[in-house]
Amino acid sequence: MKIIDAHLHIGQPGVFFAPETTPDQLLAGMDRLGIGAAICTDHLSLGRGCAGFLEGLRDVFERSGGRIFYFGVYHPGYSDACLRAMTEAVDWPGFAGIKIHPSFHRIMADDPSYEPVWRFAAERDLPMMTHSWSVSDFNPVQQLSTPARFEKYVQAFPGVRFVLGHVGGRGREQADAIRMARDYPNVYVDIAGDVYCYRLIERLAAAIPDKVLFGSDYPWLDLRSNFSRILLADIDTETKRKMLCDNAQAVYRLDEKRC
Amino acid sequence: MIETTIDSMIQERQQLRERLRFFDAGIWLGPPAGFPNAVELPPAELGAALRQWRLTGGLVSHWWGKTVSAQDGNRALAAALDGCAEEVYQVWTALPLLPIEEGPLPGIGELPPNVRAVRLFPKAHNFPLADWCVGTLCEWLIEHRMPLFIWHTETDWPSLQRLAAVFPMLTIVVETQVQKILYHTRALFPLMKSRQNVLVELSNFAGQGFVDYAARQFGAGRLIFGSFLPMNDPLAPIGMLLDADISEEDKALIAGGNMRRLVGEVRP
Repeated sequence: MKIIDAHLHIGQPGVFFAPETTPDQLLAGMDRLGIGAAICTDHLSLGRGCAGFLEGLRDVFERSGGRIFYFGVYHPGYSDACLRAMTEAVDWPGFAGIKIHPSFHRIMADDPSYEPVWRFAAERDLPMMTHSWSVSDFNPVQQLSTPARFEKYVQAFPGVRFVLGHVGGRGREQADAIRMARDYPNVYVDIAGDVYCYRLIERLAAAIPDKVLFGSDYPWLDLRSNFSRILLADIDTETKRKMLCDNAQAVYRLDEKRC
Repeated sequence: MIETTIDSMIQERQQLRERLRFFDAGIWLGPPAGFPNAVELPPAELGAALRQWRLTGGLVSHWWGKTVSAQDGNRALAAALDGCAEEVYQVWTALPLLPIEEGPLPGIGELPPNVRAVRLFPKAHNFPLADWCVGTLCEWLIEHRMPLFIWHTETDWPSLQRLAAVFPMLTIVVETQVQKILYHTRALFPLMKSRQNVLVELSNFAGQGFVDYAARQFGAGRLIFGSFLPMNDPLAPIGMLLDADISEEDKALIAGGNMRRLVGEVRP
């Protein structure tokens, strides 16, 4: 049983200065906090999908002593290449599942071009994680990733364990993420990012204690902020354990992906 | 087994939190705007909120100062905190007032003695953050040793840099709301390096290692704890500071020592 950061990144983000970005720096931070494992996306894969980058991530996993697992990023614009790469990597050590990012890829979450990856995940019993957010004045592309846009695929593929990253963001659409996690057995949420809404952890603990995963969004956000939010939240230790350990294990089954 | 580990982690953090004596520069009254999941903090519940989050006190602002008018916000804030027994101080909304307007800050009557900082909203209130417009106000702030707070989303970096350069004795606290400031670190950090009078508050200073980096590069005296309560979870910035890889003395300065010093230096 270990603490799992289920949503973070490695590599240099292009849009801001980040003092810590490397796998070694990540491991040092995890060690300081007592985080046993993490699941990462690399910034290179976000651009055109995972083809050509999974080997590097496998190397990171192995060099980390089996602690930094990785997602294969699916970009609908490069569907065939992504699915070919993931077909090869699906049994590799450390391959934890599939990530999609409709806002970054500028393709709406309910677009038909996502159907192949949902089918791919269903056929191979792979979990999927997505960026999800609320409608934002600052960042209009977030409307492509609002939680309800994923619902048709959640219904069509009930066997795919599906994580709404960032709990649907800070806005009104957050309620849709919580509703979906409550109503669909295959839907989960992670709290990665600056979803620093007041008493959100307590509300999630009351509504969907078995569906909430700890995530930091490192290096975009500090490992320590969401970690302490859970540790110091006004909820019982059993629920904290679920958020920090059990729920991520239930979704990603990391113990099965070491060899 | 893991529960024991978690309980131990909790206990360590709770003990450190008590020792650091957090003093919050970012508490807000009034109806939040742009935060659909936030619930207004009633003035009567301010004391309970401080105790709930183990805050020893703080600076309180009012949303009306932005969303209605500086005058209405300041009056509402003064009324809400009148007779308040907590260690809280007011942050009034300022404007570049014209000669026929009552001053030195927007409002009516005497300035309450517990006003210890001001905030400007140049974008929301339609004026430039330029010395020819806000210079008189800045001179008054310097005379009273009163810090100026400003959301980074309410100005632009060249204007902020120029103001800090023209008024080097003016303490400017750049606030990390209402959008995370990490996208602007390539402007913020050079500004902090070049202008000693620029400080940053922590409520969304949330990029990985920002606290440690800024404390080492610019000194712990340049960081101010703020929570943005009740829009944000105070535990997010508290957590960043509790586990920061800096000395406990520096953590205590950031948690409250720096802001308490600034409050104490104000000449009402």
